[in-house]
Amino acid sequence: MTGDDAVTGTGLVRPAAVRVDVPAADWRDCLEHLIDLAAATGRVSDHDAALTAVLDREAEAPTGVGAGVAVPHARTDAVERPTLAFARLRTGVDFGGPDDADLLFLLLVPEGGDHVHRETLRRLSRSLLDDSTGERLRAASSPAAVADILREVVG
Amino acid sequence: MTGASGGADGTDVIERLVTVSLEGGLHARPASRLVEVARGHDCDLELGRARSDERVRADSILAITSLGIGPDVRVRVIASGADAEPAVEAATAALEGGEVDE
Repeated sequence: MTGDDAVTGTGLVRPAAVRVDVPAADWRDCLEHLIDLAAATGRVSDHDAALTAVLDREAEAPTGVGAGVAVPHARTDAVERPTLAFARLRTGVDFGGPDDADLLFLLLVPEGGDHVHRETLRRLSRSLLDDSTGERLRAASSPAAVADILREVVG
Repeated sequence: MTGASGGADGTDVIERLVTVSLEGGLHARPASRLVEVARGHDCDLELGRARSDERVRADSILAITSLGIGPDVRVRVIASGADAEPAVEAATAALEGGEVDE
């Protein structure tokens, strides 16, 4: 690993997969964008398969979880290692939850990655429950600042 | 194992220990089923790991997923209020992967 690509902690958060101020029409639009972000990390071996997996999962049960958050995800061998992509939308989008979501966390894990998925979701949920992390994410002025917050949360 | 005791206002508080028999554990999708149970019954529904004192509200997906409960983990379901018993039944079904009457 080079210095630029040094991965510490869980390696889930890659700055290339974080965006703020994203315009989006609807949840499908969002998922396409999030898969593009995940692919920007170089860890997605089959873009179309990853997108299909996430769309299929969203169709089974929407991932809006309240607090303006959505947690779309898929378990797929189209990703080499667990990868988190994040988009902060300009305005919230309906993800089937109790409110529109403007903080979107896409989690892709390879087959056999259930434990990583559950642990990552646990950490995200815990930090988003008391509003302060959501506020910080919404107030962050750049993708780099957002990536720092996300690394604090998921390692 | 189900226990019942009197709540402060005279309503029953019902607790049950349940083993989470869900492939992949209690992630977002089964958590949303549990939230539907909590919201669909006239009671307060809470959830926690059997061996921990920590309790979360069962009407919030984020609260449930913050527990990070995996398959075969034992949890405690606690309900108080008018619909406590049917709520515990429905919550148990959701956690065991059975059908939930909604």
